[in-house]
Amino acid sequence: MFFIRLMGILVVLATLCFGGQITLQVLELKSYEAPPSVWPPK
Amino acid sequence: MGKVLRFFVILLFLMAAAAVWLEYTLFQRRVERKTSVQTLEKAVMDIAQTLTAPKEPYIEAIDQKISQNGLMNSATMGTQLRVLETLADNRYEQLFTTKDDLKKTQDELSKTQAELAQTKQDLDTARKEIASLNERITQKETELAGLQQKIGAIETQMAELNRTIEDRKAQIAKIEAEKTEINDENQRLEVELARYLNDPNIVKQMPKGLSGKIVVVNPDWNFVVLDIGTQEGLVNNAYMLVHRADQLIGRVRITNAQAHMAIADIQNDWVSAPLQEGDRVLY
Repeated sequence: MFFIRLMGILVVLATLCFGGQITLQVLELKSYEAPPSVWPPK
Repeated sequence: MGKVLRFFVILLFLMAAAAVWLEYTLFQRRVERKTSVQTLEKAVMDIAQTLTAPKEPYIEAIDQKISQNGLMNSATMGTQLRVLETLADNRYEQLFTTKDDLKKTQDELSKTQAELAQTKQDLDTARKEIASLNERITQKETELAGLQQKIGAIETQMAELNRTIEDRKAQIAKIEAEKTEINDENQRLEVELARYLNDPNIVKQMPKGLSGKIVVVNPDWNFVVLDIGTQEGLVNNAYMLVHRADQLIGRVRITNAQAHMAIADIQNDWVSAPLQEGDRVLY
């Protein structure tokens, strides 16, 4: 029973980690479409 | 509990697949972006080198360079790009100046070409005039040669005529001399004849300029004695003027001419002062 709970917690944590990674990847992908402009310099 | 766990496991697999797919897409994008950035960096460096490089003999080098490390850093990339823009501005300014100079030069060239065309036209006209003048000169030279020949002939004739004139003058002078001699002889003979004939009309044939001096004055008998006579050319009945220095004071008439002396009557109508010994007589 304890092992099953531990597995459940790990799965949830892994899901959250994957979710964060996917979010970061999507943001990076979006940034390629509109890259930050450095021109003209201030 | 098992169903919930199963759901999360399935969700976990799905999310892992999505993460793999996203990572794959991002990898492709990164490769593409990296290639683009490298290409841009190389292009920027090439442009900067082209802009700063000299091109003999007209374009001078610009001592300003782009740092490749600075170009690769987003914080300093703008500065390097500003340097590139400055280089481009400088070259553009040079190009503008060159274009302006070129425009001025083209205008001057057009003006010069127009002047050259006018000058060529004037030159052609001048050449034609020169050719015409040369023809006239040749014609005039031919005429001049003919005239010079005529002048030469005329000069020859003139020389002959001058010689003839000289001969004639010499003959005339000779004749004049003979004439003078004959006149003198004639005059002498007339005087001689008058002396023998005692002709008062020939008195005037006495020698011109005959002069003498009064040596005796007799106011009572109204005559004088002169120191010249027939040997000097004096004839009877001749009238001679009496003067004292530059003053004319009277006139006398020869009444008796001897060889070297003569007696003359005083013409009272002519006497302005009493005659004295030493007064001069002149014919």
